[in-house]
Formats: sequence, C-alpha cells, structure tokens
Amino acid sequence: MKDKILGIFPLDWRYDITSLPYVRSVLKSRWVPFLIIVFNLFFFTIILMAGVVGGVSAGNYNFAIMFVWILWWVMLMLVFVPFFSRIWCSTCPLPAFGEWIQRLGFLKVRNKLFGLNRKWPKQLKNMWLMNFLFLGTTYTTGFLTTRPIATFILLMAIILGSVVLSTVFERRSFCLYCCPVSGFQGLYSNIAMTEIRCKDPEVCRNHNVSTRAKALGCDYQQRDCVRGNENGYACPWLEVPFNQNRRNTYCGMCFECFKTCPYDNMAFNLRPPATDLVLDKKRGLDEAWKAFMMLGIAIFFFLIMQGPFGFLKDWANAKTLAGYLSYISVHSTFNLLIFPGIFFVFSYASHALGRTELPLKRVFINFSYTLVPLGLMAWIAFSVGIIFANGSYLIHVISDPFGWGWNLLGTANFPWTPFMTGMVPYMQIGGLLLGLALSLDIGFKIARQTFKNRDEAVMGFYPIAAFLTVTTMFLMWLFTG
Amino acid sequence: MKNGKLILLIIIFVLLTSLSLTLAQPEAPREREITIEAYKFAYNPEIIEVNQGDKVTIRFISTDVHHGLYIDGYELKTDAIPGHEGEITFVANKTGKFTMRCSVTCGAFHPYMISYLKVKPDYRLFGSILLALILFLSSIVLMVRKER
Amino acid sequence: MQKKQIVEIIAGLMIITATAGAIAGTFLYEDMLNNERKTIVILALALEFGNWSPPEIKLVEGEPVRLKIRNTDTVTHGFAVPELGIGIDEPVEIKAGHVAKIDITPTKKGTFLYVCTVWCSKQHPKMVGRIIISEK
Ligand code: SF4
Ligand code: SF4
Ligand code: SF4
Ligand SMILES: [Cu+2]
Ligand SMILES: [Cu+2]
Repeated sequence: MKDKILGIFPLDWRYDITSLPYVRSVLKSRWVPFLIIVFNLFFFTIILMAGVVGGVSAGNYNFAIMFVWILWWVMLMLVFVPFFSRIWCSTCPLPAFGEWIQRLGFLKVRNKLFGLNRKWPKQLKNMWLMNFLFLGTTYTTGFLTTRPIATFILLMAIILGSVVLSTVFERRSFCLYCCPVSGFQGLYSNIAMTEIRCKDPEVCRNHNVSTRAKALGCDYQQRDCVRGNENGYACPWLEVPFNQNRRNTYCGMCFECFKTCPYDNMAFNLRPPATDLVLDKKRGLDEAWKAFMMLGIAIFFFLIMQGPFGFLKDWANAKTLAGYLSYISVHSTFNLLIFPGIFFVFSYASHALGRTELPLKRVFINFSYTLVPLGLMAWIAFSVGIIFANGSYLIHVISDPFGWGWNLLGTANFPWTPFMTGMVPYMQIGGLLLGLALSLDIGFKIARQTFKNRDEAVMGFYPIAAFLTVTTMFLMWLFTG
Repeated sequence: MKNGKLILLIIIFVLLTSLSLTLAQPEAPREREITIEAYKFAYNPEIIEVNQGDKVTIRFISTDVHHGLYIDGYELKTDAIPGHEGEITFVANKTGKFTMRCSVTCGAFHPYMISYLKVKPDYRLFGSILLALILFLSSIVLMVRKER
Repeated sequence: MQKKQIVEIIAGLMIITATAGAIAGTFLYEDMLNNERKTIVILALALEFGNWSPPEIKLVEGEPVRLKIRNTDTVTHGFAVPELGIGIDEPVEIKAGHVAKIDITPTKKGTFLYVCTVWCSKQHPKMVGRIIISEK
C-alpha cells in the first residue's frame, strides 16, 4: 500500500532503532529500565516529601507541584507521548513496588508471580474505569495544582493502589485498567512516532513452540515472549508482543519482550506519526469517550487556569460548596454528554450522507479516533501556555525543594520570569493547525475504510471534516483570540 | 457531483465574506484610560479591548492584597496594594490577544489569576482561521480528486 | 547463583538509597545547616492561616542566634523588630515559599514586638509577635 500520512510519510515506513550498535544489548539488559526507575524513585521521593513538608499552601512555590504538574505533565504531553509513546510507563516508579512484590525480587527472573494473580474482571477490561477515575481526578484539579498535600495524596493513592491490586490481580492490571494517567497516554500514544513490534513476522510464525518444547523436554503452550522464560518475564501488560496488528495503547514499553525473544526479533521502531489510528482493530466506545473527554477537559482546564473568569476559578477552588458542585456537574455533563452528543450529530450526518450499511455506532466509533491528533495538540497548546509563563518557578524550587532556605544550585532567589510569552500564541496556532491537518488526514483514511466506495467516503467525510475544522477554529479562538 | 461543487463554492464565498468582517476597520487611534481592579483571583473587567494605535493608560487597583499585572507580549509590569495604585501607559501597536497575569504571589490560585488584553483588529486570528479553512478545503479537494 | 544474589542485594540497596537514603540525607543536610549557629525557625503566615508561629520567641542576651523565617504562605510577608533596628534600614521582604535568615546577637533585654512589614491581607496590621530577651 502506498498510503501516506500527510502525503509525506509512507504508512509502512519503519526504522529500527535497535539496529544501531549497543541499543539492543542495552534494552536486553535487566538493568534497563531498572536503573531509570530507581532514579525516578529518588525524584518522586523528594516530590512526596516536598508535598508534606514543603510549605502549607504555597502552591506555585512548591517542588511537588512544580515538578509534577509543570514539568512532568508538560513533558508527557509535549515529548514523551508524541515521540516515545508510553516510554514514561517503562520508567515509572509508582507501580514499581507492586511489581517487585509480585516478582519477589528486582532483577532476577522468576516467572511464577507472587500474589493471587486473579484475572481482571471481564466487564472492566476496557477504559471506562480509567475514564471515570480520570474525570474524578479532574474534579480536584484546583487543589492538585495548588495544594502540595493534594498531590502527595494522589501519588500515594497510585502507589498504594498499585501495591494492593498487584497482589490480587495478575501482572500490571493496575496500570492497564486503573491508573488515572494511563488512559490518555494509551490513547495519545496512537500518534507516537515510535513503537515496539516484532521485526519479522515470518520468524514469529516459524518460532515453533512444540519443537523447542520437545527439545527442552517440557510442554510449552506459548511462545517465549508471551509465556516468559529464564531471561525475562511474560509481557506484564498482557500484550501479545509479536502481534503486528496491535496498537501502542496497551504496551507499557517495559522491554521484557526484548529480553525473552530467543531470536532477537523485537524491534523498537521509528515510524510516521498517527499510524495506529488507521488500524481498524479493537476500536471501541471506551476509547472514543476517552478522546471526547480529553478534548473537553483541555477546554475546561484552559478556562480555569488560563481564562479570565473569576467565577470559574472560585468554582474549581471550592470557594462555596454550591459553586464546586456546579463545577462538577457542568464539567461532567459537558465531557460525558454534550460534547459526544455534538459529535454524534455530525457522525449521524456522515452516516446518512455516506449511505453505508454499517451500523451508525461503527461510524461514530471509527470517526471518534480523528479527534486524537487534535486532542493531543489542544493539550500541547494548553501546556505551552503554562510552561513558558510559569516554568521559571522550577529554577527556584530546584535549589530549595522544601522551602527550608536551602540554596543547592544558587538559584533560590531566581524571580518569576515569564519567558517568550509573546510567541506562545503562535506556537499554539501552529500546533493546532498541525493537529487539524493530521486529524483531517486520518479522517480521510478512516472514511475510506468505513464506507464501501469512494463516492460514499467523500460524502461521509464532509461532516466530519467540518466538525474537525470548526473545533480547531474554536480552539484557536479560545487560546489566542 | 455538479451540485456538490456549487454548494462548496457557496460555502467558500460565505465563509470568506463573513471572515473578512472580523477585520473591520477600527476607529481612529485615541487615548484611553482603563481602570482594572484586582481581587483574589481575577480582574475586573475580565477582558479589555482597545484598537491598534490607541494610547492606553491602565490604572491598576487592588481591592484585597498585593497583586501585580504583567502583560504578555508587551512585557510590561505594574503592581498595587490597597491604597497604592499602579499604572502602565503604552501604545497598543501589537495586535491580537495578550494574556495579563498576576506577577505577585497572592494566594493559592495566583498562577491562574489572568485577564486578557485584546488589541483589534486581530490579524492573527483572521490568519489562523483562514489557514484552517484552507486545510479543510484542500483536504476535500484532494479527496475528491483522488476519487477520479 | 551466588552472583545473582549479590546483584539482587545491590539492586535493593540502590532502592533503599533512593528512598530512605534520600529522606535521611535531606534531614541530615538540614541539621548540618542549622548547626552552624543556634537557629530558631519562625513560620510567617497571614492571620487567617495562623499568624506568626511561634508567636513568642525567647532569646538570651549576648547569645548569637539565627532567625530563620520561613514563608510557607501564599503571599509575601516582611519581618522587622523596630525597637531592635532589625529590618528597618534594610527591609526584609520574604516572598511566598522563600526563607529569610537573620543573624543577631541580642544586646538589650526586655520584650519587643516583631511585625510583618508587607501588606499581606486585610488583617495585616495585626500580624505581630513578641521577642522576649532575658538576662544571661
Ligand atoms: S500506567 Fe500509570 S502507574 Fe502504570 S506505569 Fe504508566 S503512569 Fe505509571
Ligand atoms: S519470542 Fe520472538 S520470535 Fe517468538 S513469537 Fe515472540 S517475538 Fe516472535
Ligand atoms: S513485553 Fe509487552 S508491554 Fe513490554 S514492551 Fe513488550 S509488548 Fe510492550
Ligand atoms: Cu494576584
Ligand atoms: Cu504578613
């Protein structure tokens, strides 16, 4: 197929980073990503400590707030997810304790995991729980980003939750189905410019389980990367690593499959952006709603944190109970019902114009993935507006993380200095337009997948393209006009 | 398909004419004095609008604690405590929306204490909407052409 | 087998260093800084959030101390002891999240008021505390 993303990058273009020298041996070492996890653990220890001792209410002058919500969050949106998929999850220290308990060790391989190893309930094997947990977390955004102790509570909840769930459920069930930051990383990593896939599907097909099993004298049912072996664990994220038709969404990039594959057949690929969105596999309403909610939440966050309306801030800050409840209800209704409702009208139009025999639900779900590039760009635009204006706080808190009067790097008295704020709107517009271009391009490809012939696809594409364009214009007006 | 083309042309025409309305010629530049009141955690008025070339004087008043006012893009700054006003005078020669933010830590929501300065006409918004429209139209044209 | 166990132990030690070690390290460093001179920590908080804490500081005449004023509030505060001439010629302004260190050796005995010098809330004028300096 000679399909191209944005007419530039061929869909099937890949470059295997592990073909560079050393990269593969690094990824195959059991010290990777362990060492990075330990490093991040150190950082998060300081963050947690700063959340408790670093000042009662000095929101923007707190190490925990600054590093979690200004640096980490912005890095996720700006760098990690768009370029490296779920690379954060590979180095995340939060569920590490749970995992070490399951493994009863740090580096050794012991494929019988400690704990009850229950299967996650089938009805919950989707994003809904994460959607609601994330929505719930956004109710407290006013506290999370201004009260250090709230950040401490959230992070501790994630750590304790992962420890408890790891002892009850198998492998990384917590990360797959509960972590509030997992859902959006999964959804937006569809866009990522890297992926972990097998190098040569032919090798996997010929990876004859039974011969090898016979040679070893045991009855293996599955291939090494699925089952685990003496060099590494079975995929902790319950993926089938050699499946070529999977998306980045549920691969936590833990690199275990690099360690287990006896044929060195796993690859860490560079690829064109957004290719996963074209893959017509396992699309679902849960991910569709994630896409709606993320875009809606970006709009609300912008209004609260970068908008001029005092009453909204008082709502989110829970100045009065009534205000806080109005915030929760308006926020939830918009993100769960109104915004998806508007999109439904457009997909209804698309369904009617395109005259497809497919059920309306399919059309709705398929096209909802066009919101992913635009949604990520909306978050990038939001993040850019925060980091350039308030990034200078980082320079202060890194010298005095607990507000105890330290001056580690000599920058404790660095004043608040907004940086390049005149350029921010242009970056936001550029990002949003790029998002629109990608969204339109993906929409176009999805239309051809969804409708029988091209005539119908064109007709069915009109309403969706109009929706995407109007949404982009609205966002550009909101952010910069 | 002929019908489709006609509809498309009409849509383009309507969009372009309505869009150009946003660039309507503003009044001649003049002097303006605007009073902004700051309170935890917003400003009153929330948005101020001026025209390009206006000589703007902002009287800055705080009604509760020490607040500041920093104008993005213009990079101007003032602050006020109750009883002591601040003042900024400038010529609004850059157009578009500029965020004005509090520059003195004043409470939990201080980083979110924001108001807007809008200098009309907003060429930037006009241009970005035009670009979005071009993207929209070209994606459709590309799709229709590929079909042949 | 032996080697594998050693590796596990090294990994475990690394984790302990990164967590418990980091916490212990920060407290030790803080202690070390405070040992340079007798240090008294004062929290600066607007009246609504609890005022100066502690509201009363006891010093001894002739004994050098360091006052470490931590502003854990969200607004700027100031510090002055007018009768002792502290913070008068050089105003001490402490921004939110910042810390001011003032080294003094009291020479006068008696009870003195220490005050906030920055308009920090509607109740700012009431933001005062007491320094009691006793004889050696
Ligand atoms: S899913 Fe959440 S807890 Fe799990 S690794 Fe990713 S960020 Fe960390
Ligand atoms: S172990 Fe390697 S070769 Fe075998 S199926 Fe997995 S990736 Fe393919
Ligand atoms: S083992 Fe599973 S989660 Fe880890 S990198 Fe491979 S496919 Fe992804
Ligand atoms: Cu303010
Ligand atoms: Cu004060």
